[in-house]
Amino acid sequence: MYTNPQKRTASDTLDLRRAAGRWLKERREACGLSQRQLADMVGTEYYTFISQLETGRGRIPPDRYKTWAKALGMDARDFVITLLPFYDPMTYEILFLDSSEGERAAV
Amino acid sequence: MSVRAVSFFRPSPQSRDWSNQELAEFYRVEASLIRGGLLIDTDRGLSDEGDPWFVFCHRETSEVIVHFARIDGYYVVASSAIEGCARGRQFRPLIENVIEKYPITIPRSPSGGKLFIHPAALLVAFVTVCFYKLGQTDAVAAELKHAMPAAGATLTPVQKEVPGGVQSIALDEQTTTALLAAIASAVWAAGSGDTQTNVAPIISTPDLGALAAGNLPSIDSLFSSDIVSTIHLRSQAISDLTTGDDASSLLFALHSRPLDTHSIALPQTVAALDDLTIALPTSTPSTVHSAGPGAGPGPTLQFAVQGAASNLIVASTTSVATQEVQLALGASAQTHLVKDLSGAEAQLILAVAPAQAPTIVSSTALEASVAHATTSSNATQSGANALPTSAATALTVELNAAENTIEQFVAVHQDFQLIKSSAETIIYDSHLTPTNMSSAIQETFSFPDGSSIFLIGLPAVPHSTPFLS
Repeated sequence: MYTNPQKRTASDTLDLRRAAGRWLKERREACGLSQRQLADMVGTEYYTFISQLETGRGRIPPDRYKTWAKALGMDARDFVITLLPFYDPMTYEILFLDSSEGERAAV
Repeated sequence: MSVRAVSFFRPSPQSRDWSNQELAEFYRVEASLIRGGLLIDTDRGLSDEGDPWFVFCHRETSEVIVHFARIDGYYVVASSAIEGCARGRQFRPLIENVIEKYPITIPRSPSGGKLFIHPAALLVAFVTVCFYKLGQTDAVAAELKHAMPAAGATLTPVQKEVPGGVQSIALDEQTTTALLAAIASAVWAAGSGDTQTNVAPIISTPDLGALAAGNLPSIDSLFSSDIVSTIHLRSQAISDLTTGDDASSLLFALHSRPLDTHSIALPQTVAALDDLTIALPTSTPSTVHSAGPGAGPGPTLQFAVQGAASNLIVASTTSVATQEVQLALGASAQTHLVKDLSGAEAQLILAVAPAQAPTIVSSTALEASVAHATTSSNATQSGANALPTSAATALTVELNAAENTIEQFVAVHQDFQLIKSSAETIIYDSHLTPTNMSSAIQETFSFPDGSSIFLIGLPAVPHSTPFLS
């Protein structure tokens, strides 16, 4: 099972998840998808999971990133880079904030 | 300039939010879990179509432990802990089915015992198990259709495979203690809502005696390990259960069938259970577990041990085993009963039956039975509400007669409660109060193994129709 401890306070984590949820909701609505339609596209058995994510509870499992990116009309890499600061800020900081923008673009 | 027309009369999705009763149940569970020492948080919302969901989350990691929803009229339960998504028209059977798929295993201790779970605690047990199963992992609300568990994942508590392909969830002692504390809290909370009698249901752990020796083969056969025994929630007919002639087996059958109460049957008592005590604030000073945001009004629980609920095991393993959850309640019918019946009135239990089992010795206050009874010289009384000595009579009855009587009692007093004190089990009418105790009718069944069942309740209406035949 996937583990991803971030060593952040619960409040920090929740704030980040809520921000991710808002972004996901905007992206879904921009694609003209309902929560049920998106759930069908990403293979979620219960579509209320989409609502839960958009509220900031839980996260998209990493093994589903590609499916979600496709459903939301995004390149998988762009999708992950967008979500990474929300879901895994430590990794994001190491990869991007300690390097120049040019290096980030290269990634 | 482009103009976008927006209709103000577009019908909004009809909200089908949780009912107040459903929300109250969820928040009761949350409060119970918090009292049990679990770091739990909850959240809820509505989908864009108006379907409600409710999640239990880990307070520190914010990860989702269990997701409940009602989609298109069907209840849905999803959790990485059960690696699946279950649906059902009715909520409680849905939870029961999930739990039955994932029996709980707990540490074994030398002494036998059995734990009955009040229906109010069923959801608490389920969420607790999910909480601990996901305790050291990210409780990602998985997309379950294609999700596969990672190879080599370490789960604490341990997940075990049992015959038949059923996976069980094994809890260590500390986890078990927290589970039991949460369950006790849930049961208490359920009972505290009864403002008329202020009677809380009881978790009891009858001494199984012979029951542990093989009357539950389906339980014993689940695991060959000496380390764990199995808690298995079940509600089967009497014929499917035990055939023993002791009080525990009869009680087990009784409690499992008519009221659809789900029992956790474990061949051995949990060590952690031994010292779990719930008391009102006026009793032994101890750690107070404050109620969570959903706790609402009600008595504050104090666990008469040192430290938090998660540390209960430390205290319990170093002290004298008492074999049961002891509930020291306040001014209520229960207190009255516990005080009056657990001690001296136990002497009302008459002589043990002759060797020809299954035979039961019964004492009853009914004059009608006097003609067929032999007065016991051992019968004594104590307490203001005890029966007159002259009324205490003894007769020998067959086991099925006792079963019939108890079933009749349960049918008349459908909200009966249980108390287990040593080898004595008390089944009483929850409407009993100190003021109406004088009109109560009582009967005791004493079993060859020394155990007993004590019935006490108000007469059925009209008064000329007692619950005892």
